[in-house]
Amino acid sequence: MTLNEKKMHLLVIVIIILFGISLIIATGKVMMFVPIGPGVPPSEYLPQLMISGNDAYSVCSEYNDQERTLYFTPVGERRDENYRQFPPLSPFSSYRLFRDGNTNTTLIISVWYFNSQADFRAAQQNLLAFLKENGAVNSSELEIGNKSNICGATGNTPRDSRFNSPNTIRVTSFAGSDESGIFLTNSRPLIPTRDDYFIQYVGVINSTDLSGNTGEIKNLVAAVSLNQRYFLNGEIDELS
Amino acid sequence: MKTLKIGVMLLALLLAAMTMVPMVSADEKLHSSMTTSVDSDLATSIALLNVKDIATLSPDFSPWNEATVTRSTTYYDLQDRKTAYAFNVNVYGDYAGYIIVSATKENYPVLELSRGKLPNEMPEMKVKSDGVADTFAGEKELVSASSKPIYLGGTYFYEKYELTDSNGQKQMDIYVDQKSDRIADISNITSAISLTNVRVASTQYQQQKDAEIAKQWNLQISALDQGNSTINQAVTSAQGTVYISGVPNYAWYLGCSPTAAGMVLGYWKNHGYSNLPSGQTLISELATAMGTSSTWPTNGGTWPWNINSGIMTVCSNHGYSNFNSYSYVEDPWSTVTSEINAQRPFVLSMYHGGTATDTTTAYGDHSVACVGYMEGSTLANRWLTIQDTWDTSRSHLIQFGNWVSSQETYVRP
Repeated sequence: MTLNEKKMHLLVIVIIILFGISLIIATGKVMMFVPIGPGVPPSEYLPQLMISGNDAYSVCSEYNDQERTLYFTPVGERRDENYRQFPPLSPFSSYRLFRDGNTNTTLIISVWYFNSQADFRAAQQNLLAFLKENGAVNSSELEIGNKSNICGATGNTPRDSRFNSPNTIRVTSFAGSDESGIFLTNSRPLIPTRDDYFIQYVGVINSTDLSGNTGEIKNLVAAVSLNQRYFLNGEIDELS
Repeated sequence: MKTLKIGVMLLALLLAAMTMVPMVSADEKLHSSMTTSVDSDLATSIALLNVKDIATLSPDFSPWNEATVTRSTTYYDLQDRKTAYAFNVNVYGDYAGYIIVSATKENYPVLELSRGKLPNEMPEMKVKSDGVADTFAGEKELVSASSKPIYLGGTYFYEKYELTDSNGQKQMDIYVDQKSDRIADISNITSAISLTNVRVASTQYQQQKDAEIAKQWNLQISALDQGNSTINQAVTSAQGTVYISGVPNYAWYLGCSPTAAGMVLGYWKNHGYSNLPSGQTLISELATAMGTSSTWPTNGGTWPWNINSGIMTVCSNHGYSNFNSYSYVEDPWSTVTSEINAQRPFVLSMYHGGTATDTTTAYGDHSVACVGYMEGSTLANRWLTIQDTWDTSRSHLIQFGNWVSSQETYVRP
């Protein structure tokens, strides 16, 4: 076979393939060649990605997926509004109360969402100014313990290799006149190229003794991050 | 050798002819819409009729039983032909939502109804849109003389601005996307629309769709022919309302397609397939199997042909090789409802999906879990019940066909 004949055969094959593709399109058997999604929720729904629905957050032993080591039950409904203990930071915010199944302590998670970096920075400055006026503010590191396993996730289910949240995070701790807790910021947790920013607060209701409640806070952060994996995804930092 | 060359040329000619056929069909379809136009009086009657219909069908819309409608916006296409009429729905004088009625019988009579607001009816969005046009015009030393709302179906809402020079002479038109407040590239809009038309206009699906559309127009006009005094009598209860309970309502995670598929498999986990994981573990496995990636080229999206194969892969990984999953394009109402009737939720992937009846944000290119449907008996209005990955507190209704194109992925153990 000469070189020209080889080229001609190749051309025929290419044309036949194109013909086939045209036929498939013409008969409507394939979808447009456009990806579906990502379908990220609108801003008003994004704080909810950090807080559970009606399910409790539970964590089980690394060695026994039925042995529950941590258990946090939602108290009441999630409120999709700014938590009144702090100044309104964003039109997109939610908070929810939880009860620690081991100690019976009532805790709160509050989330504020921002779709622009400028608004995110301004809100942090606004919040920091408020916190300094109304209590003690410190920068600290939180080592998250008890993060072992989602209950029921072992057995026939392989571990989720995508989940690699940090063991230690930098946070801003706050002790006010009514309650105390930690703040952390979370940048671009959903898709690295998207501008999504969150401020998250995990606090203990009616307790100003932050050091005495650090255990519950650590456990709640661990439980949330294991069950709501965007909670510690992206770039985690303290308020700045 | 000469014969081979002739063969190649003939094949190339045949290929060219094949690709031309649907384009011609699409073009003919556009022009034929001129002859099937709907005037504003008929559209107003249809709007009112359907407002009463949904009020009877859905408890969520029961206040609309006392509603009146007032025309708010007439939408056009890129050739300045009317595409739709929007009406405000008012209950005792207060705004309660909107309904969009097609201005051509080439499309379903009711294109969208919602308790939310249309983009061009929100003052703040109109101000933003005008600002974008003014800025662009200023850079070109032109002024924005007039504007016209454009609706091309689904999420294609634009405001068209005519820009003139200092002598008042028209220089150019620009289109501002009402969803993003950015100037839209007209060539991208036309290519997206024509791509859809090429695919739809050439298929048996289009014939089925045309038949459904014609049937709905006949039912609507027949109901109106009985006279306005009988509108309430013409509106009857739902012919069919089917809802599959027990489908978990998962929040968006990693991508809409794996999340929607996760809800479907989450249902099967509780129906005899307990080895399947649940929640974010299940979704992350589906995302891996579907090749959903946050990086280029999908940027968090999923190739549509990977959805069914990903579902089967995950099922197989957990010991269930009996699962079959099939994807179809633009399946007709009869097929979609028979799947729901068989108590099998499925993944609905919409291209340029519109707005649900109780939300304000259009879905765009988005996958959801379809868990039910609702169909009126008199007007044959049709809604799908969906769990949209955004709102985990409840399901939503979306008008059947309120998208530019769709893919249905069925999961059958």
